[in-house]
Amino acid sequence: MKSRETMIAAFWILLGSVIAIWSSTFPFGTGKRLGPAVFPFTVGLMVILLGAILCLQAIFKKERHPEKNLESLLPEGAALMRVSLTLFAMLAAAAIFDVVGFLLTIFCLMLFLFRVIEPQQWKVDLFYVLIFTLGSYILFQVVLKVQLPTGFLGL
Amino acid sequence: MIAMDNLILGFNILLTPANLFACFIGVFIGTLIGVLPGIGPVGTMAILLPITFSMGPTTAIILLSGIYYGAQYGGSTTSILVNIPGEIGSIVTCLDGYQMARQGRAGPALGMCAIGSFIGGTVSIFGLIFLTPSLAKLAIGFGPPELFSLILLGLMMVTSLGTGSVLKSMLMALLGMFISTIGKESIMGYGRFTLGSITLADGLGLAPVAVGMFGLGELLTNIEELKKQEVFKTTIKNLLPTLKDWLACRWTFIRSTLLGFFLGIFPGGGVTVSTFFAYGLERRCSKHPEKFGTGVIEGVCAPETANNAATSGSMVPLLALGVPPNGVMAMLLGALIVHGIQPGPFFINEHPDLFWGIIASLFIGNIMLLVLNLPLIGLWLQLLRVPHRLLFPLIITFCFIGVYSLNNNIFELFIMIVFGFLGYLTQKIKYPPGPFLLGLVLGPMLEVSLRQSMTISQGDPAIFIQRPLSAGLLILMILIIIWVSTQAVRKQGSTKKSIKLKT
Repeated sequence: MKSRETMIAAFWILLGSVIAIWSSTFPFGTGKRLGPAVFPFTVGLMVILLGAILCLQAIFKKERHPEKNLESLLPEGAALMRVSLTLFAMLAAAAIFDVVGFLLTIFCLMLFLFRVIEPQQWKVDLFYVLIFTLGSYILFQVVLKVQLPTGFLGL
Repeated sequence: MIAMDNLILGFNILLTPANLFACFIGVFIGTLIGVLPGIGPVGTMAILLPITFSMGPTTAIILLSGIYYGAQYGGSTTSILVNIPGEIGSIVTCLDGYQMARQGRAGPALGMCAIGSFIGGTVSIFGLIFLTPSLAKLAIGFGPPELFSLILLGLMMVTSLGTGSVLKSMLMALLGMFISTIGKESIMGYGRFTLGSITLADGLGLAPVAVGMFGLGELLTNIEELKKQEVFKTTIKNLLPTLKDWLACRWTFIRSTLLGFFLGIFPGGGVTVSTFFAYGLERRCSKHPEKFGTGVIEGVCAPETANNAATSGSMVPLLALGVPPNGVMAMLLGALIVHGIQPGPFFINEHPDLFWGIIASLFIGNIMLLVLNLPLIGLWLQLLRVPHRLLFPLIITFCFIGVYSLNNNIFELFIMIVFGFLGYLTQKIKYPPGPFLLGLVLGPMLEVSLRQSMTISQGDPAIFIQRPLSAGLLILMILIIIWVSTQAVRKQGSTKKSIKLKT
């Protein structure tokens, strides 16, 4: 737990440093006309400062119950699979959204998520996926006339 | 009388099919997400924000604000029947609400929640009507230095007085401010942190970031945990409280409404804090404080009245000063800005139709909510039984559609997913997301007011102290920092003492 807090603090110090150093490449302007660098540079410095305080707190904080087995940051087992696969599915869907089109992408995405989150019998999942995909199409494309990609199928 | 004329104007604006429908949809969706634990009003507002772009600003804001106060009504249902708060403002309702359900009094508990919410929500609107124009008049004298100091004070109050670690809240606010600087800055048009990308030159956009951080972030957490809800098996009968219940709560309504409204005004206050304070106050005022937690009607009435009063209270600084006191109001501010409206001291004069339309919608919305939450309680009970595996893919789909529909740009989908993962991580390491949204929305205003102030003063930073209002706000901010630091040192000292005593 202590090392996790220290790592998080180190991340903030690193992020603050990146922000401050990158900002310093923009014009600072003058006292009368502050340039675009001033605000993000100040933000970066404040992040470094608060990150350093966090780091010191983590180093000097006494562990009241060091023997307790504290949960790890990342989930384990089935939970990790669910989260990872959900993220993967969303990234893949975003990548093919324009090319494949709304209907097919959402159908595949929903089917994948149904099978990942809490799978039931195939026909039950397929039933719900079809209903939800068609329902979303009717609601957004037909009723609300939202511009959605048609993809190579032209749907 | 002027207020009455304006109120009539507001009702004229509201009573159009589009606005009435938006009000109903807003409060319905608000109640729905309040009933269903897992996604809150900020996430829902973020998801629906892109869809509101095709609406007029009045319709859009009526819909989005309906989600906020509707969620306060709905949250109590899950608190009472499942002992899980459906909404952060219904945490305290669990204490006595669930006990009442176990005693076969779920009906009166649910009924009193709806009635208390109605009273708190409706009466506090009058506070909003009278306080907002007065505060706006006071703020007309605000220039860039006062605005800078006010935003700084607001940010400091939210990070210091809100729930969770002060340091973590401040870091999240700073992260939000940094994200807001990506893209072309508004004064010189200089591109910052764009990596030469044309897409990044427009900035990351409020909608993809907010939908990701709040919508997807919460969803991923729920997908990881996949909690099963055990709805308490009881028949819901006698929704109307008894005469004894009414008498027990007659002063609770008044106290909780006033407390909730005024706490809602202050940054860092808001719905959650108001419920805890209201519950504590009722316990103190009660002749039998030891009974709180065992299923007393006041323990249910107080937080639910206060949380709805706080929703109106939190609109005061947003509409009068343009400074949101919490994350939800920051989302509403973002929505107003996206629709080309800048709330602030001139908001009521420049957009009277919008202001009074919102006020009128609060009245009608609260009536709609009373109807939705009393006779239609059975509908919400059925919804509580809908498995999450059906809801989550649907919500993800809505996120995709909502964000893509903004600019037909798949890059924004990737932004949404990245911030979804970030939102999920920040929840895991207990970093509050609310200050991030405040920093994201207020960051540009803070920077512009700073740069304008320095231009006005010809580079002299003393302008912030020389102007009395600005100096007063900065002194208040320093006092808050001192108070929070003192409290932290005291808490550390008493913790060390108690550890020593135990050993």
